[in-house]
Amino acid sequence: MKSPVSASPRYAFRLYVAGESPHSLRAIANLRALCGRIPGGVADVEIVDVLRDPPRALKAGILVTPTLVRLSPGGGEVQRLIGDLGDLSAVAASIGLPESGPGLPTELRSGPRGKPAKPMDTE
Amino acid sequence: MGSVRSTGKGLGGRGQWEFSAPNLANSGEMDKAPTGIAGLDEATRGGLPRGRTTLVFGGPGAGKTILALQTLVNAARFGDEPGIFVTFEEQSRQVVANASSFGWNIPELEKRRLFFLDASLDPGVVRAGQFDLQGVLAALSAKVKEMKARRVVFDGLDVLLTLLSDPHAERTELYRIHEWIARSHLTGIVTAKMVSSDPFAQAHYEFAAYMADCALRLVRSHKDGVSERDVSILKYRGSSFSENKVPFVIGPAGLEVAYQQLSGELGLRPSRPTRSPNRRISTGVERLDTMLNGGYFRAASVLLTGLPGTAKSSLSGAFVKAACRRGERALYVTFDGTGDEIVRNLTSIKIMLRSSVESGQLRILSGTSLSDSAEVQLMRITSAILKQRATCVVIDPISALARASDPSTALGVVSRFIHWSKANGVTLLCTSLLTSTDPHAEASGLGISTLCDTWIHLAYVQKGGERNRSLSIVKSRGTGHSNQVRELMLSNEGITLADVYKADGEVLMGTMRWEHEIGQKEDAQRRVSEARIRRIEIEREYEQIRARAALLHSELGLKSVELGAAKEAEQSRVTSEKSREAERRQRRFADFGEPRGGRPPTAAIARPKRRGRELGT
Repeated sequence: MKSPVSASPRYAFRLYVAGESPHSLRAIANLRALCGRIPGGVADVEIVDVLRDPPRALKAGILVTPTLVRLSPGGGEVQRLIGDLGDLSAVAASIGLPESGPGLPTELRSGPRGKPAKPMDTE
Repeated sequence: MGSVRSTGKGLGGRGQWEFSAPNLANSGEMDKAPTGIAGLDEATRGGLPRGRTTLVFGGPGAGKTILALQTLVNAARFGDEPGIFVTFEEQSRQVVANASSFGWNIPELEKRRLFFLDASLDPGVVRAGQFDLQGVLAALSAKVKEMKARRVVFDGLDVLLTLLSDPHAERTELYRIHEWIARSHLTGIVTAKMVSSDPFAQAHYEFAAYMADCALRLVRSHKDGVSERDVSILKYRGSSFSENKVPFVIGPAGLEVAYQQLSGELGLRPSRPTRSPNRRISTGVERLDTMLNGGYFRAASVLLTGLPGTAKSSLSGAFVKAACRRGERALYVTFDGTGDEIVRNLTSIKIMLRSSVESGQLRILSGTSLSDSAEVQLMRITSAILKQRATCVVIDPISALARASDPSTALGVVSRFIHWSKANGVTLLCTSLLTSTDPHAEASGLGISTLCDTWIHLAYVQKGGERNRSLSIVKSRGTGHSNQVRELMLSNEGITLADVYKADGEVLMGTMRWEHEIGQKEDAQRRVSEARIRRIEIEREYEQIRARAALLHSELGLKSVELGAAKEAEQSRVTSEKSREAERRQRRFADFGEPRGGRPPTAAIARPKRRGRELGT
């Protein structure tokens, strides 16, 4: 899923997933929700399926899936997060996003620590 | 797949390693993958289950990583089976560096046969939800295909699993790995750190232990400050296995498991053939050879016991010197001093070892035993023997092995060492200190006297204000031997045994012997001269009697002549008496015989003429 690339994207992510496993699908959905919190609403996202391209995963040192790599503008790796990003608030906090934002409606929420995103007006 | 033979270089210089399982009492149906670790393949009856998962767990520093890596290295080197090592805990560079001292030449193997995957998670990684291992397994599948790998290790899996939030997730991932290993037709080892002594008490690893086909537990314990390691096979589905806890050491070439089957098969497996060119070899002391009917048997074990100072080290020195003289190589292991001291002390009794040491025929190994366990010391000694290619070995004293371990462990170690020496054709001489003068106290102490073939006891005999050294052979299997107690003499001419000297049923030694010898000589002389005197006396008496007898004999002759004459005289007297009587009667006109009718006596005048003749002139 690729969002339109803006002139200078603030956020760039690479998400490694393993096919269409439950964890992977959740991670994709949660990432989408996260992106919804980005001011400006745009982010550069690349999704890599390790089942289709194992050597790439090895080279990148990706071991568990899903793994989210946050890239700084320019392509270098800034941060890694492992897991299906279920705890959105915590994830948002760790990557410097507001803990809640105008999340897109109808997201898949799950995971033991997943919390539904609150609409902005109630914050 | 059947057995794989390879002629790779032996571990630790032990010669050829046969990297195959079939001759190790394999149950037959199950295909096993050898580990190549001495003793472990024996204990598992052939190795680990092929195509299945083996769980190796233990506390920190127990040796799990080394065991797993060594198996992989052996398979790659000798079994032609490439392998992948995935490390979750340490960085792979660290693992390789830690193993560099073993001489496995990992960099060389990494070119084609070994692949290291560093799966340790960066501390900066944020945990943000549930994850699984599909990524890494997918990546590995590709690698397996590329390398044609047959073995895999997941080292430190517990680190990864603790990141998962619940036991359910852990089980899922464990099962995923287990399945992937089987599906990929790999022989897998998973190592995990466990701090409890009983895995089944740990809910975490219950499933792991249940799921795995084979589970090994490594324990490292400290007894009296000495570290001891052992491995137990907790389960092995589908195979028989040794159920006992087996000790192991981490030696110069990796793990060595000291497994010994009851039938006598060895854990430290040698590869040199047993050689026995001469049945007996010299003890170094000629008269002792005679006492033993020729000397020590080759590849026998000899125990020399005695209090300090009873010349055990001297006899040991004589033994190795004799070996060197025969052109053989020897090793003298001492826990009581340095090599130089030994050489110096023995020079004073004319046992010259310096030239043998310099030529390399004899090596003197000084051991310190204070802190090492019996296992570690044994391993050092056997390595030294192989390196020296020694056929005659002295351990002085062997009781040093028991200093750091408990007696039953030490006895087990010594027993294994004796078997190993025998199998390798090494003649072994062990000395042992005694704390009492009763040689049978030794038997209940460390107990090696029952294991050794020959037992010689050295003692002090105190008598008459002197102490002299004595030697006696308490037992010697398979040979007749002298049962005398002999005096052992050390001088600057060497070692020898004195002649046996018994008096009144007791053996005498030293000056008492000398005195007694003198006394005996004098007695003997006296008896001889007494006899001579007696003989002379009798001779004299005999002469006397003979002279007297001669005298009597001549008297006897005279007397018999007298007797003859007297007899004659008597006879003539009788005759004349008879004729006189007849004459008388005639003169009286009596008849000879009975008178008839009574003739008157006057008739006698009438016949004087007739009588005239008889009256004679």
